[in-house]
Amino acid sequence: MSMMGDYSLLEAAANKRRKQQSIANQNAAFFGQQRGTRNMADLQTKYRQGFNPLVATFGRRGLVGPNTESGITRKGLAQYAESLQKGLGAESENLQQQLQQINDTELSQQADLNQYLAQLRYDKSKDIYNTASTVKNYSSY
Amino acid sequence: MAPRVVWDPATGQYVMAKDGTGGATTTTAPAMGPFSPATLPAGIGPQQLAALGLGPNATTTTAAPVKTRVTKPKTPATTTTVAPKVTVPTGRGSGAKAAPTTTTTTTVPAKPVQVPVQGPALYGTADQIGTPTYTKNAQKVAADAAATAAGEDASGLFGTTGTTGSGSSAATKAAQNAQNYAQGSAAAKYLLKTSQQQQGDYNALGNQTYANMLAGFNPSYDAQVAKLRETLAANQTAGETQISQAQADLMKQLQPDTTYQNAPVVQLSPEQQALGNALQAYGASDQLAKNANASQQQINQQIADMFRNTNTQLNQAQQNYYTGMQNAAAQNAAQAKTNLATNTTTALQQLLGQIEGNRAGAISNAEQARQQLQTAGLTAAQQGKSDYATTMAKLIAAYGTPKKTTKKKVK
Repeated sequence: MSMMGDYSLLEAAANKRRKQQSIANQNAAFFGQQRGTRNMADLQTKYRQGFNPLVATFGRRGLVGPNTESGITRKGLAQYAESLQKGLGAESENLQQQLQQINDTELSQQADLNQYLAQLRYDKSKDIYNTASTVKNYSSY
Repeated sequence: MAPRVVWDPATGQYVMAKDGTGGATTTTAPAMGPFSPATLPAGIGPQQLAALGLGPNATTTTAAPVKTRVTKPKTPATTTTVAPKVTVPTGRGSGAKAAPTTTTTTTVPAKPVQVPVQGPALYGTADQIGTPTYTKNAQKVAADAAATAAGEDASGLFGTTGTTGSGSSAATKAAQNAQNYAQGSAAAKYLLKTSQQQQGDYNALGNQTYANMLAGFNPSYDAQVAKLRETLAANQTAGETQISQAQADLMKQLQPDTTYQNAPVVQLSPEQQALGNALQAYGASDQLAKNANASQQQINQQIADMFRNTNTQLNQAQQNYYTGMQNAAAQNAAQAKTNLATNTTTALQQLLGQIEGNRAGAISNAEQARQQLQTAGLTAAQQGKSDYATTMAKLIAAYGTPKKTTKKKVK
């Protein structure tokens, strides 16, 4: 059984630990978002840089020219853009899940803290109940 | 003469007195109770009282002073006249027609009739009542009185009446016997009455002692009981206040947790591909990219909805948890108050039992003291009866049973 003074000490320790966890979560979210954004930027750059070489491959096959419009070329370029978009979508989904997990961790840790503090106060009240329900000065008689 | 009993401070007991010896100082006993010359039974003279150890020489002793003080009588000498009718046997030729009437006059010396010390005061001081020494003294005095009544011969007890006169004849002897028998019988009755009075005194003293002891310790026990009830009542009130305050504080702190209530959910829109102008330059469509973007948005939406739903469930669970905790806290508080009341009652009963047990022990001691005194009174009464019977037996043996006088019927 904890003593009365222990409850405030446990509460302070829990709050301190919670702040450390929150800082870690914020850092994780920041770095996760930074990493996701960089990945998407890199993906855009990669696809932009790959666009002209792709067009060149169609040109070497005679599918691209001043007065030439090839359906194969148009389809190939549209699929190229679709691939880029899927890559960006997948990256955004990963980033969303990563941020959501960090958010859930933050919520869960805060809920755990609140529950722990509530349990501490509950136990404290029980200690008070138990102490108050005993008969004091028993030995004086 | 009957032995006298004197108090010996050295031994703390009554001992047989030695006239003119010993360090104890003899003083006259104060008049007590019904014993006074005016109330002496008829027929009891100083000599009879002296013979029984109840006469002027009955004394009590104290350690000081050294001088002996004898109270002088305020009344003149007592004259007792006894005029028995005695029939003197005469011969026919004697010519005597009637027996001479002998008038006997007894002159008692002008001494005060001292009242014997009786009852509990004879056996010790008031604070010694009930002690073994006191009881032993009482038994010794009673034994001495019995020895006095039974041990002395009848002539020693009743034979010195100071009768004067011609008395040499049988008629005179018979008259003396009748007189001695009457006086001895009166003395025996006096002993019996004294012992009965002693028993009454012992009973009264026992009851008074019992009442005094109860009056002495009852207030203390009553105060203990009152203090105990007051303390436990205050303890219970303080405990209930603490419990109520702790419950109120807890309820104030146990507010519903809003962590999962309206919690933010991450939902990202996929970044658009940046090849739009380039695609248009080659006549390519970006519809496939748009379709992929729309599909991804739906996926992200569904994932976010799933997290929102999860948060809603977690929020409900959290609310239920806090509600349950509040209910448990309220039940704990009620249970704590019940426990407090039970513990208080238990402690009260236990401590009251101890106090009342002590009181019962004290009452038992008081009752024991009373019974000791009542037993001493009963012993005195029985001793008195025994002395009476012994004395009467001696009288009958010495003087015979007096004949009943029958009145002649007048025709």
